[in-house]
Amino acid sequence: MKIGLVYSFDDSDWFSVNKIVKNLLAAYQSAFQEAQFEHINYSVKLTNEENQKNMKEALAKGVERIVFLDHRPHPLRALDWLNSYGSAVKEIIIHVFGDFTLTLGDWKRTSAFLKDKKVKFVCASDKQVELIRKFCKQAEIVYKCPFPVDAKAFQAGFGQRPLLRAELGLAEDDFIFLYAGRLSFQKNIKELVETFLSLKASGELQARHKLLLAGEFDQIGQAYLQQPQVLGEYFRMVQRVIEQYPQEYQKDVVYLGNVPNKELVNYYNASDAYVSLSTYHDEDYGMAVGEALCSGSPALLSDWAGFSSFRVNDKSYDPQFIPVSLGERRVSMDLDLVREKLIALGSRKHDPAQREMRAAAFKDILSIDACAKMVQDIFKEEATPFQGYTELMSQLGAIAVFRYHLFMNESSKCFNDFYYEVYDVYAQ
Amino acid sequence: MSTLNKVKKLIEVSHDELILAKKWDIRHRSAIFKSAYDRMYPFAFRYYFEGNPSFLNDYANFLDMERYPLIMLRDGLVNLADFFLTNFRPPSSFRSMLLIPKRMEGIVPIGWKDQVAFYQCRFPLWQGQEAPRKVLVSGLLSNYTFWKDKPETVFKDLRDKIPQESKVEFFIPLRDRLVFDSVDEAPCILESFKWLYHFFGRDTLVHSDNSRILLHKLGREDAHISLGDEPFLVADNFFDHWQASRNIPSLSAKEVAVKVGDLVYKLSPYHDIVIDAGGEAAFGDYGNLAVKLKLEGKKANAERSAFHDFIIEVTKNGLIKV
Repeated sequence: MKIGLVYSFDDSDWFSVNKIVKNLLAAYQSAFQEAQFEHINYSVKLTNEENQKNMKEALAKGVERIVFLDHRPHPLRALDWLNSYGSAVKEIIIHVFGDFTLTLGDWKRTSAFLKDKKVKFVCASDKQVELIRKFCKQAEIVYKCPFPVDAKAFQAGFGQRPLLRAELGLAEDDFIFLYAGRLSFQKNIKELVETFLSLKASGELQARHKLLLAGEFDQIGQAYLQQPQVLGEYFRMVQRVIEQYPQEYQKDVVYLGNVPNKELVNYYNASDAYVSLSTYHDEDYGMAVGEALCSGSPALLSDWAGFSSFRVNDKSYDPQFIPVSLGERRVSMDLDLVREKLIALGSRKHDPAQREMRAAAFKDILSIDACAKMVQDIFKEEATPFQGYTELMSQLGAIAVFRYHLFMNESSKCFNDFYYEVYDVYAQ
Repeated sequence: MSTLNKVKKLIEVSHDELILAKKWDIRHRSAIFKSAYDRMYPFAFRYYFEGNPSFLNDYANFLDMERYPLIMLRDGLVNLADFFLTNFRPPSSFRSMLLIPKRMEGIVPIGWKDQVAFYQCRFPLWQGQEAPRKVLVSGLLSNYTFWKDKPETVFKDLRDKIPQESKVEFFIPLRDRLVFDSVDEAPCILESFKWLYHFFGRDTLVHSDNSRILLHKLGREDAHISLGDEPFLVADNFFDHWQASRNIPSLSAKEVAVKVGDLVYKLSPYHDIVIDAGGEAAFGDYGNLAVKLKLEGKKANAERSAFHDFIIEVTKNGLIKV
């Protein structure tokens, strides 16, 4: 069986996508023999003609299964070429990314090329499976396989802990809350910082508690409600909150900037809890969360989208979750509960043995090898011919042709009914 | 209340309705400068600060400016000189405060004393012991860039400033016209490329794609540098803020001394803005400039190339110090 792996050979502008594609590739290479693969470069940096040539040449070599591992360019064009030259292709497997709902116009158009083909959509989390099923007539063609974590690189190990803490000027008994990821409006960094500082001010967290933020500020804002931001805007929003508190507390919020990938594991191991209150609409998974958990870090997470799938059989290793609900203009959560959980987490002692067991538990479900097994299982499943998308896809895909903001009520500038119909599963 | 206290208060109470970068209904003063600043993307692109960073051209007139109690002007010499030579004191009903680039403090007339303060940005500077791995040079190839020195000298100076061990790449958006349609920048571009390749080698990578340059990521070991000193059109460059907000150090930014009483606001975890009430040089050059203009029988008008030539000339002659 010849498998065509379609992805961009060039790096993506999205840091996490580079990791995802690399790790997915590793999972396939672990699941099957290299000789079975035909690697197909499908890249935004190539012209249409070059992409088409790559696809055509690969198909001529007798590819029977095509797997889309990447999200850009959209698979639409490749599926068109597949339709023209890929009569030998028996099955199409598409790994779906968080931007699915941003490109509904293109997905709707794929219907013509997928009709009656054997198709499997693979999502990275349970809630994304639910979301994608809203758009497909057949629930059985939507599968789950997490984006793999490189558990060899991200594992519990505390050798660097004292060194890194010393480098950051932190004491051995300091309790470190760590957030790693983009510092973005929908990631609720302002709310996290505000909650943390208010707990310091009230004395419920002490001087030894620190909040470390690794990542860069972005300008995405609340894109669905036509509220993009400009350079520096979100930083100033957060900074104004910080400046409301006395200097002695301000210094306990530490920006680490962009931490190189190979150093991230040291930060997870040097910290005491990973925290993310993200309610980002593309949060179909959460690579940083997966890596933190595979490094054994306790975690406090919003119970939103892909984060909700970070659960293992032994509940004692699970992250703490904060329920969320869809509001009129943004996803909301109970910040009092966040306070309670931060206090509870902040009173815990560093327990290397517990962390190693947590790392092992998450490695069992998120590692490249674990995902390779899931990929093999998905391949074994008998695929059924694609019967088309649902009415919801038909409507939203048609609207996407002439309107960018699919989920906004133009008059009230709030979320519209489509938003609740699509995203309710992310907040369940 | 002192000017700095007024500025501080206005920054404290600022909100989106008072920030031009958050507006969608901007009325431009001049179509010529609207296109010019568009062509100067990303250097003239907007960024956020409660001080309201913007260009004079973003306000149709004084009435329009009055909607914003605090306006931080990013303009270069040409537009600021035009503005102050035309308005040697604010209209009596005008209450807004202006923040002016510190290096332009000399050309502000004393009549504006109570309604201006001066700002400068403090960017991360290269402090490594070793040479940066890569240096990204950014700028526009136009006659404004080479106002003082010819391309040969500018590129030679650049070569001398950048450590030999560093890999050098250029970000140069190519514009055959910048401000005036009658001024063809192509000869300047061709001459510049000749010297760029002469001093940096034929294989030097030159990026010119606007839409992708902001995705071109520099790392911890890299640095950036401005192609030249271009104080005429843009005094506060978006690209510097973009790199600074990613903690990419500059080889061309200057040290900024902060005095007691200055206002300092962080614009990112790595850079900030320093606002003061004016130093010894403040309001010092305006008289000379106004007299010179009068003696030469010229009129202040940024939409006329003759005025640009006049400003470049007086800057070269040292009548205006920037």
